[in-house]
This record gives sequence, C-alpha cells and structure tokens, in this order.
Amino acid sequence: MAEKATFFFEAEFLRKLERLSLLSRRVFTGQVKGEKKSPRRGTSVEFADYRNYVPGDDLRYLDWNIYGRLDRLLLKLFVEEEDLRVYLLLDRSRSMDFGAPTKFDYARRVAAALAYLALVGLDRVAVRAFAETLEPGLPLLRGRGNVWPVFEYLSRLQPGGETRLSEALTRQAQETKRPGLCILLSDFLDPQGYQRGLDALVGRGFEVVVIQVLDAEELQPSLVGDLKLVDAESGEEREITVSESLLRAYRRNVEEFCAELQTYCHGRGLTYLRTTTAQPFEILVLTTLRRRGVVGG
Amino acid sequence: MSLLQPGSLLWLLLIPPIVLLYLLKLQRQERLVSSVLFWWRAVQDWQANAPLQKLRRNLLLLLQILLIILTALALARPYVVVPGLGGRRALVILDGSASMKSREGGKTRFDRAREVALRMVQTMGQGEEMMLLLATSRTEVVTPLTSDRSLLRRRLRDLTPADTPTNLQDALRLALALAQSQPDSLIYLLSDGAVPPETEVSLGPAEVQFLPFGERHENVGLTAFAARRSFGPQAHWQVLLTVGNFGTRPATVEVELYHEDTLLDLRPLTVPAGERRSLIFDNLGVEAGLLRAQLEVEDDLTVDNVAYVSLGGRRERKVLFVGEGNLFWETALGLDPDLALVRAAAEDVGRLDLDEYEVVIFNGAVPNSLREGGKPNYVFLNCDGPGCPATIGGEVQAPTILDWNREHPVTAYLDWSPVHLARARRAEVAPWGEVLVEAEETPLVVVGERGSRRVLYFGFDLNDSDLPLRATFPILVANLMAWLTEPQAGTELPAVRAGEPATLELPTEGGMVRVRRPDGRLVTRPARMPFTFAETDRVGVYTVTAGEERRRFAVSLLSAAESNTAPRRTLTFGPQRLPAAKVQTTRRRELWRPFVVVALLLLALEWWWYHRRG
Repeated sequence: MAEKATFFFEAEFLRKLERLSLLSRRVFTGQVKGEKKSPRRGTSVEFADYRNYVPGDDLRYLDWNIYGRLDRLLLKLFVEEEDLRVYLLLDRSRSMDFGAPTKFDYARRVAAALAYLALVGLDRVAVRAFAETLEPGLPLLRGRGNVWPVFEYLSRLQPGGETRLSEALTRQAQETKRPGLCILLSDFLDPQGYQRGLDALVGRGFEVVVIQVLDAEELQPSLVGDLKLVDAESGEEREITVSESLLRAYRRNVEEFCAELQTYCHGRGLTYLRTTTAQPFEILVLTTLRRRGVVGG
Repeated sequence: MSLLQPGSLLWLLLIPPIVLLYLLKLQRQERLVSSVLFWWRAVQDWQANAPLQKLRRNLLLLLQILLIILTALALARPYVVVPGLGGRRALVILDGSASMKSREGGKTRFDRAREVALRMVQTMGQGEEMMLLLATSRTEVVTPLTSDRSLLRRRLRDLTPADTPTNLQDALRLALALAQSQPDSLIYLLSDGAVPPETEVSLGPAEVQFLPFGERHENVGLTAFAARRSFGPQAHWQVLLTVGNFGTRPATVEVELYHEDTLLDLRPLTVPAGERRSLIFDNLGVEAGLLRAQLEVEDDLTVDNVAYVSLGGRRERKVLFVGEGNLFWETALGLDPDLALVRAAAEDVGRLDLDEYEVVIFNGAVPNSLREGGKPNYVFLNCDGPGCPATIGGEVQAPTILDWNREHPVTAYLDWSPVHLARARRAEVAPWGEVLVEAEETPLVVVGERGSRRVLYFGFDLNDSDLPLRATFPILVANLMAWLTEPQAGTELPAVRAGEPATLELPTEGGMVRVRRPDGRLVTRPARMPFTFAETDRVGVYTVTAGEERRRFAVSLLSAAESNTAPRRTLTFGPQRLPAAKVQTTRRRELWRPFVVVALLLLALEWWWYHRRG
C-alpha cells in the first residue's frame, strides 16, 4: 500500500495536501456530521438564525436573554456542519493515453490528490472512471482510512475505449441520489459533444468543476509533412499534408473548442479549468486549484 | 509546327510510372493522435479558405508531369517553318541611291527596303550570318559578315540613303568576290532597279535574289543644267536646262531660276509623259555667283527638283602670241572679249616677263632663251621646245586623221572627220603627253599637264589645212582657251554631281579645312593640295572654310537614271537577266529553347514548393 501511495505522491506533497480541503461554493446536505456547512441547522458553534419556539423543542437552545428582554420564546439555531459528497469522474478513454506523461496519468494523479484531500477533510468521496460507459468505481467512502483503497483503485485503472462523455455524465446524474461536488477530469475530446452530459449534471443540482487536461502537443503540434493520422480512440485514419497554414487552422480550432467549453461552463456557473500535462501537477493542485477556489485552507 | 525527332515523344511514357509512384507514395507516415477531430475541422476550414487546395495537394505531381511533357517536347525538337536566310550567309546590298528616296504612301522605298532587311535580320537563325552593303555612288560596308543581330539592327536603323546615283557595279563585285570565297552565300539585292544597265558585271554562278521596291512612278526631274557665256562682246550667261517627265501623266511644272536667292525667271513648262523638254534662259544680267534651278511640282522624288551651277566672274586674261602672226588664230582669239592678246617676235621674248601672261602661244618658233617652268601655260604651234609634250621629227605628207578624243575638254563637241591636212610634223609623244587628235602616221594634237601647268602641242601649220575654214576651229580655240585659263585658284567651281569628288584649290596649305554639308554636318579634313572632298552625297551647297577664306560649291543630282523612278522587275547584267525573286527562302526555326526554359522554371518551382511544404 505504501508503494502505491508513493506511486502517486511524495510524502512532502501529502503533508502539504493535508493543510488543504475541498471547497464547495454551494451548501449540500450531508449524511453525518462533517466539516462542511449543511443547509440544516445543527449543533455547531456558528450561529445561524432564530425561530419561534414550538412545543417539543430542546429547551437548551432557547435564548433566555431575548425572553428576558422581549418576553418572547425564541429558539437559537446553529449552523450544522456535515460531510460533503465529492464525486470524482475520471476519463480513461484511449484519447487520454497520449503524451508523456500521458494525460491519463496526469488526470489520475490530480484525482488522487483531490480524493486524498476529501478523505482527510472527512468528506465522502466517490471515484468513478468512465470511457464508453460510466463504471461503478468506488462507492462513497469516508475517512482517512479509505485513502489506500482509492489509490489502489486509481492505480489499477488502464486507459482504453472511446469517450462517451454525455452518456457517462447523464448516467452519473441519474444514478446519484444526493448530488454534491462533481469534479470532472477529461480532455473533452468527444466528437458527440459534452453539452448534454453537463446539462444533466447541472440539472440534477451538482456543483461541477471541469478540469480539462490536454497535452502540449495537442495545443501546439509539431507534425510536419505528409502524414496519415490515426485516431487513438476510433482508429479512424485521415491523410493530411501538414502545412503552416493547416497548422494555423488547427491551432485556431483547438482554441475555439476550448473557448467554447469555457463559455459554456461560465454560462452555467461551472468552474472551468484548463491544464496541460506540461504544468507540474503539484502546482496545479497547490496553486491553481486553490486560486480558482476549488480547494482552500 | 512539326517535330524533327518525334521518337523522343516516347519519353512521355514516363508519365504513367510517375503517377504510379505517386499512388505508391501515399504510404504516409502514420502518427497516432488523441483525436483527429481538430485536424478534420482544420482541414475543412483550410479547404474552405483555399479552394485550390486539392490542386495544391497534387501540384507536385502536376509539375512533374508537365516537366516530363515539356522535356519530351523539347527532345522531339519542334520547329516551325519561317521565312529566313535558309541557313546561309546573306550578303545584303541595299540600294541607297537618290531614287530610293521616292516617297510612296508616306514611306520611301528605302524605308521599305530597310524594313525587309530588318525582317531578314529578325528571322536569322543560329549560325546564320549577314553582311550589309550600302550601294550609293560608292559601296559602303555597313557591317562585315556577322551573326550579331543587334549590331545589324542598329546599323540598319542608322542608315540613310544618299542623293547620289547608284553604283551597283562596285557593290555587286564586292559581294560576288565574297560569295566566291564564302560557300553557301546568297546575295540579296534590295533595289528599285533605277540603275544604269550594268554591263560589266557577270554574275557567274553566284545566286543573286533581286527584291524589287517601288510600285508607282510619278516623277519630274532636272536632268541637265549648264551655263556658259555667249560669244560676243557682252558675253552674257546662257543657261540650258532639261526637265524630264518620268511619270505616266503629262506634267506641268514651274521652272524657277534663282541667282543666289533672287528669282531671275519663272517659266511654266509642260512635259508629256516619258519625254524631256529643254529650256534656254538667255541674256541673264548676272555675273559670278550660284545659279539655282528649282522645279515647283508635287512628285515622288524631291531631290532631283533642284540643281545648281556656279558662274565664274569675268576677268581679263593676257595671252602672248609669239612668232609670225596668224589671221585665223588672232581672229578666233579675238572673239573672247576677256582675252587681251599681245604679239611679240620670238627674239623679243627674252625681254618680256612671261609670268605676266596666262597663256603663251609659240607659232612655229621657240626662243632659245625659253626655260621650262614658270607660270604661263604654253601652246606650241608647229614647233616644240622645253616643256612640250611632243618632240618633232620629220614631216608627213597628207596625213589621214584617224581618231580624236571626244571626252577631253579641248576636243569635246568637235568633228575632225572633214578636216584635211596637206602636211604635218612627225611627233614623238612624251610619256606624260596625251594624244587628242591622231593621224594614221603621227599624233597631231597632244596635251600634257606638268604640275599646275598645261601645255598643248599642235603638229601642223594652219595654213596647210582646211581646219580654219571649218566650224570646228573657233570652237576648238574657245575650248582650248577655256581649258588653259580655267580658274585654278579662283572662287569659281564647276557644278559637282552628287557622289563625285569635288576638287578645290585652297589658298593655303596646312591646317584644317572645315566643310559644312547641306545636311548641317561639319566635316574637318587636313588642308592638302589639291583638296579633294569626296563626301558629296547630299544635294545642296557646301561651304568650305580654310583659315579666313570661305568658298562654296554646289552638288546636284542631274541623273536621268535616278530620276527615272519607274520600278523595274528585271535587272540586266550583260547577257544575264535577273528577275525579281518571288520565292522567299525559308528555314526551320527550332522551338526547343522556350520549352527548356519553361521546364527549368518548373523545376525551380517544384523545388521551391517541395521545400516550402517540407
């Protein structure tokens, strides 16, 4: 187990991670007491509201000072802190198996780091990989003790299969009983599009963080000459003659695609983040995600 | 267009393998990419932006196929048949005489001949050479045999016709000599045929093509213009001029006679087609100066509408008659009012200064003191002496006159056939003497020139002949005195025919002489005696400046052969007749060069395109 842990992270990095926690902009209801705010009023020390006393209420929460001054029975309500449901969806399609390190490895490490964060922060974490379909993955787990099963699951994953992003996300929306924070790690290279799936998640009430992982080679390809391009997923072949003008058209297309995704996400209140495998993954987790408010602490 | 080596088109069979290689070449390098999505879109975008993309994709193939086609065509040596020199050496004689200045339809015949010559230069092929000769009164080698087309073109454009008669003879002789030494030569003669019949040239085996120019002939020209003093005390100038109509319609012209720039007379003259009419202007009240005859007429050739003659001034000439008096001689000499006759006995001559006289006539006796040399010209009548062109021997009884020189100024226009002699002196002619009248037994009249001195020997006594009773005699005396007292250092000059050299006496020797030609060109020559100026190829007045002195002479065409601008389709050379050439020679112009040039350009384009894509 220890080897598997170091497969993902250095010990130093793990120590840094422990100081962080996942943040959610929205407040979800939890199952057990945790460290995240809950819409329910509960027993934390943080005052939330007053309400009129009705018979049966716990008399310990009556505000006797108010009763003294106003002669009215008001009950003090406190913010309940509960656990957060974090769903980590990891794209393991063949298109992710590209680059050095591969996008899949990179995304897997980010997922591991985020899962670790969540488990340490007493949140519930479900990790599910998807390609042509959404796999069952790990159910919602809680507690530091589950770090190793999660890491093991992630390290066992192998890239393969086509991307059916919308199908996987729709399924996630349908299968989840209680929505929470959904962190989606993918390259979004799905010819069928992503809009339907993301719409389903948003409609179900998830807070979605989109992390698009691309390879530097995909953004600035160094291809030259007469080539036969083979699609990693579909095996589709395409003969092209790469010229400077074609490269320009390609780069413009990639930029347009990413900009479109970003606009889409912003329009629906999703957090969008684009990273390349060239960016050191520690910096992504410790700095970029923190700056974007995905993690805090 | 035809092909010299059509077998080379087999190279086109290279095209299918190239296409095949191209199809095989589609084994492209395989590259795995995460998704072809963006590439596919990019290609679509790119194709939308570059409609010729498909073509561009196959441009290399197209270029290579084109390259093969062009190379195969170049190897097949395509050619077209163009008018040309037939792969031979062309010796082109351009007629640059006055008649070529005839203007028809805005262009002169010379312009048209030049155009033809330029076209010939244009069609010259590789290895073909051309030589240009300009035939005026002289033959000018415009270019030697050369294949330098730009030189030929340049020289041709710079050529101008002269105002002179044609001397085809010299040009043809030169061309024929060259044609003999250069095999495969072809002589082109570009002329209007307005030339005197050339009887002295034999064309031999040489091939001569006569390209005629000129379509019509409407020309009126002056063919003769001469002035002389009338006999008698007044000695007025008389002018004779002849106008020829060489056109097809009767022409009415106005003949104007100018003295310097003053109009002396104007007469209308109608000349029937193909005929000549002469006019005599008598009693002109002018003395020395330049007479100009001008025809006011609209015709093809203008250079023959003007002619000049210069009039000498009157001056007294002293003649010494030594020896026994002779009535005939004295009477004949007395006809010229300008002659001052002085008689002297032979023995008195030693006391006289002979240099005062222009002519000294010794009748039957020569003083012993006579020395050769001195200024005057001598006439030895029935005697000889120092400086005589003949030495007297014995006596000849009743000599028969055989022949006389009809060209010499002294005996021109004379008829000696009715003259009879009782006796004459047998004479031995000096090497420098020229016999003018010859009897069967002995020369009778001999002239000679030594230095600037002129001498005449007369080998019989007038009393022993019937010559004085003939009309020949006074003319002979007038001719003789005119010849002997001809102005040798005066301002007068006889009229010069265009193209003939003008000889002038200069007042000083050494230094430079500047001659201003009628066309404004200034020619500078060293002043040598006698001064001969040969560049008289323009009609008009030439001004000669030597030091402070200024002289003039005038050049006129006066050539019936040139004025007769009727275009001729046949030239006659002795027994040979040269018809106008109808068949233009042709040559093959090979066209492989442009093919190779384009192929090389394509090759460069292909290279560039390939590397640009790479």
